[in-house]
Amino acid sequence: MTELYLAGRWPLADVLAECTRRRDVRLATGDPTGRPCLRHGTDDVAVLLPDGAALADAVLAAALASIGRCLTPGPAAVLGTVLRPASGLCGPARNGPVDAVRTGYVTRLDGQPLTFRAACRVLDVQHTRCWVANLSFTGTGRSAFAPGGEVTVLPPVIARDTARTSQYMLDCGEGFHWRSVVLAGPPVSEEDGGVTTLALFTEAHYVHALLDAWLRPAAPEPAARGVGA
Amino acid sequence: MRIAVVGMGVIGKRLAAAIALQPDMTLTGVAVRSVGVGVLAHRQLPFHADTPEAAAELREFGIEPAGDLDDLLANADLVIDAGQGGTGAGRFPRYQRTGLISVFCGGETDPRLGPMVHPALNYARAIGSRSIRLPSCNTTALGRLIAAAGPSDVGEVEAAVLRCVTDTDKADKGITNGTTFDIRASHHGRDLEAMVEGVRVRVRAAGVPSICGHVALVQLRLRRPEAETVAQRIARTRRVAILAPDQRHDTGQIKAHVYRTTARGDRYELAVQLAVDDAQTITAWIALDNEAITVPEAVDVMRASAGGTAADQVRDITDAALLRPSIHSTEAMEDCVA
Repeated sequence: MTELYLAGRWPLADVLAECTRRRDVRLATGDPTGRPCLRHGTDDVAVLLPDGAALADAVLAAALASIGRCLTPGPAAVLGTVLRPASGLCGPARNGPVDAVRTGYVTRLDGQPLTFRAACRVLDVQHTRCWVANLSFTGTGRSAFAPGGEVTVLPPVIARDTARTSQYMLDCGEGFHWRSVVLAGPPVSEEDGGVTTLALFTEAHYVHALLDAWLRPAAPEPAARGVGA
Repeated sequence: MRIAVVGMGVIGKRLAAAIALQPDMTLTGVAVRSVGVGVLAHRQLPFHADTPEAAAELREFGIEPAGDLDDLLANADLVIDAGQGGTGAGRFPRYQRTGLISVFCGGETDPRLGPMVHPALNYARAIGSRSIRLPSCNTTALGRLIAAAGPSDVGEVEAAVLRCVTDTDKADKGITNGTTFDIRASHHGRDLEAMVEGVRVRVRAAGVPSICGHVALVQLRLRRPEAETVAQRIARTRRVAILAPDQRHDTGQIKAHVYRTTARGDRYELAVQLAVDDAQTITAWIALDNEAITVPEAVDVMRASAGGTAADQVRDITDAALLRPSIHSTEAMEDCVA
């Protein structure tokens, strides 16, 4: 069995534990102090994991990249408004006071894993189920959308609210941190050739992408920079 | 035993899954009136349309109905009704005509639907009854605690129940930011007094915006000064997981613990934090998964209604199929601290 070793305090440690359990990968944890890093059980070289704003960007970028791969031709850019959930079911509401929306910040993303530019307003909300992103993709021509990979389209009866969506994913055995990016109904093609969609996802989408890259047969090159940042 | 399930909502879908795990039960099918999350997530099940509209809706989602409700009932030995609360009486005549044993979930109030049975309190009432009502989730949990303490040792029970009222299907029961409360006694006390003779039970309830299960503060006043002995007995009881007494707990941590260890996040065990106040008084916080806690007792009652099996044996079979004590046992829940 593959074994990974997580050191440091990483906000997504619980999600990583759930994702590795689903992949039959053993996850060992060590010293919870210091910067979070991940290594193969027998490797000496550890890879730094993103934290703070870089982690939020990495989670968002993973979802945007997956949706972008469903568009042909690929988009040139995406503009979005993103509702980032409070910090899970547990603990204090790190992302703002109760019954409030924190007005957040604008993040601009470029480069891997994206093949297009992204500018998103990220709002922190007192909500624990998933991220919600209203996205407008633009390109050089009329894009066609074909779901695939880790992107699925749910019928409106399920995607009517995040409670139903997360309940559906739980019923399907996907867990509280589900892997797919879920689109609330088919994307809408705009007259200017762009595509608008509402996407729901959890941090597990990013963590699985991280594990996909990390657990490829060929060992990844040791990197000094953060993963997925 | 061939079981027909009516309803594929919060309780129905869990019952269907639980029945499929029982060695002596077969899920004949599930009757539905509409297509919701439970149906779409379990498309492989044999769904029976309760109405022509439901048949059309199933087909709209690419699911061919296996028949109608009468077809389902004709091939079952028992029907368990998990339809919307308060609607069971309307279907009861159809069940009576078939001669099936019927079991109604969710604290149906109509006494014509049979006695209310909590298998740990009044198991014998399930034997020979052609129709049985199951208590609500909070009544099931409180009954489990009283049974664990030993009903003959308990004189009075006072409880304040905090219902989580903004979950998936209950958004209309509460408010977004605030607590609803009512000084009048809730139904739980009356239901429990009907099932366990000689114990005075008073329960009041409030509603809070949460999705992590109900919580209740319960005080047990004992007939004799043996609180320590009773507390130890509670801790040894099946379907009870004891939380550390010297820690602060929260339902978010408990829910997260269950999500880490199960696919759907169902917890059948009652989490209990105990304090012995004096020789005759025990106080407990209890935390229950309102969507799942009734399932083991429902399975018990279905098995009991067939007759011929002792109460402990019935529960043994249920627990072997349904509960995984290594996951939600007292020891395993040690990480559920705030």
